[in-house]
Amino acid sequence: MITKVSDYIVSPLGMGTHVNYERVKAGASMLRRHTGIWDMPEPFVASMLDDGMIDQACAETGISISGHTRFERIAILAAARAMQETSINPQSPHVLFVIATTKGNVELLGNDSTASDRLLLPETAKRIAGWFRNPNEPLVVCNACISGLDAQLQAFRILKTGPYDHAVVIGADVLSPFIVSGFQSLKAMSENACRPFDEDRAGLNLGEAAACVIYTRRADGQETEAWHIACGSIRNDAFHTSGPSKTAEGAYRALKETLEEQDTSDLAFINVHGTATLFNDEMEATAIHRMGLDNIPANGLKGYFGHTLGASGVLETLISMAAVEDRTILATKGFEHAGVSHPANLSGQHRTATGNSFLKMMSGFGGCNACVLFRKGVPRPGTNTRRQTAYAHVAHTVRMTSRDVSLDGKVLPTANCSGAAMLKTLYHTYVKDYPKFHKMDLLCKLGFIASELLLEAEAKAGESRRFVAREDRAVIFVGRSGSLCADKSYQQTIQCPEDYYPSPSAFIYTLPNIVAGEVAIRNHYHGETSYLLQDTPAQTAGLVRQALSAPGTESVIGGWIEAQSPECFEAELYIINKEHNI
Amino acid sequence: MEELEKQLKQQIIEVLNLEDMSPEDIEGDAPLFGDGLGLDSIDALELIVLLEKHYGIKLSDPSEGKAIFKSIHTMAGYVAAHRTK
Repeated sequence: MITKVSDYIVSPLGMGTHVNYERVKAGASMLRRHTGIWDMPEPFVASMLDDGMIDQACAETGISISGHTRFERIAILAAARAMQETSINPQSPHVLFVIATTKGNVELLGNDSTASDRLLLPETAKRIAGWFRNPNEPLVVCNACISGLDAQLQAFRILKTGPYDHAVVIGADVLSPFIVSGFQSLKAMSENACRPFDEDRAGLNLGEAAACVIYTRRADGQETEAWHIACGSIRNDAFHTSGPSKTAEGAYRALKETLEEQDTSDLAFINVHGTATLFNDEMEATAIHRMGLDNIPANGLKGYFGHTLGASGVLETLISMAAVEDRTILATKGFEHAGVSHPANLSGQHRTATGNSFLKMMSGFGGCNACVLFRKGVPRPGTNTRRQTAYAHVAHTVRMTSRDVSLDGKVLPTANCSGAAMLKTLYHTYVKDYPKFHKMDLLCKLGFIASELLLEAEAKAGESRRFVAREDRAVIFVGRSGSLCADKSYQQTIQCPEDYYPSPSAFIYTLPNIVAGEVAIRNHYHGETSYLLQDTPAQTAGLVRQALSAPGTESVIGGWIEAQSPECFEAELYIINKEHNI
Repeated sequence: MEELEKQLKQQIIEVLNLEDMSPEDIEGDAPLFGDGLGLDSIDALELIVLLEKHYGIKLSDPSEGKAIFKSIHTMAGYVAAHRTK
């Protein structure tokens, strides 16, 4: 049985989950218009952390300000405060740190910084876990806006299969010209405070925050009444890297898989993603409608915190837990009149909640959608208690470096090309008819070509037909550098004030999970998609295999994929299928 | 106008990485989106950047792009009328 034992929120509204909840209940928001900061040419509305408040809290907690970046400080702070409430020893090898973020320390790219290793998320994660003297390699989840929920699901799976007893899940992101200019280039930002699901909504606001939740595995028979994950799933739209499916394909499937065999009679509310962009809110309303949940009260929290990116999945989960305990459906700040094409049970006022569970929904670039059912109470029979072991067999393997490629052990000709030119040669030899390839960044090109080779091998062996829509196959990639190449390309479009033209297409590829989304789109895969980061490939096979334990997943295409530069990259991808006869 | 259309075609191919295409492949009155070149919403945003960067035209409302980016003809007409550089 895996239950929540502690939590903590660091946000512009204050320090601590209880403080944040009470401020939200009082209707507070720190969304403000910011003009002229970082020499940004256009103003923006965002919820920003007060550095004085953070530095004071760091001093009280013994976190060195000079030794850590802003991002690292708030992540450590949230986890240290959450840890204080427990008897868990973070130095124990049975404790794992799982960190959800979209962009970590990306603001360092704008400085002429020598600390380039801090741009690598596994390095940043090591500094965060290192502050606690934790001996384990932390896991970073970088799955766009669903990262915070994905990280909780990853922690849940890891705790279920062992060897860890405690997972410290931290969701965090800070804002910088990089992120703000990117969302501005996508024309996704509202000039005023956001209005989720409202007819006058005009886009999102960004926010800064860190939130930590600690989950613990208890021995069978020691169940107590506590918050736990009853069920959760991730599904892909297989539609577009940045625009959500018009039929809410991924969100609907995530809802359906999550609620399969679940009792929803004690559902207090649905906490939606509710970014207040035209497309997101319409898509979520469609998903809820398709699921027949129109009558369930729903709410969104972006009007209080803005969109806190990697933090939002943890932060909004914790606020929703506090609300259920307080028997309150929090008002959707900014909402007045519904502006979606299905009935939406939202309100601008607080309402009374009944029930001990809630659904959390999130969606992100790359077409990923997550849905998790959280419940407070003693777990019901069959919920969350079984240790599942998924036996798997590897069907096909492709190995690529920037100089050579082999498929199932057989070396493929590359016409003496290497690096990015080799990928192009492979495209013209083996694919030919997917011009989207040329628009992709290096990481996506590498993942795309490697997956094409694998899937062609599978089709040739008669094991599967290509381009047939399926939901039971997940796409799980693990790497070290993530989207660093794409980050540098995008930074060039904003680096020089005289030549400041933020590129929307370059910005999209600064999310490394887009590579999993591209594979899903190409192959019509509606299963789980994710991108994880670690320092070395040592645990990759375990992480990929673990995805097989998710409900509804029978097969995974995944593995290690690392793109350092057009001259230096490597991938080892494979298809694994669940073994039924063991 | 013919020169401007040719220039726009080249810029579109470059900015949108339409690597398998040459300017001759793009008809002046063929739709750029949907069934035409098959461009998508991110391409539309990238064309807005192109207008600003090369011609000094700032579109604050992306929905304006729909009419402007209908074809090379309409795009060239708009650029000729509104360019500041």
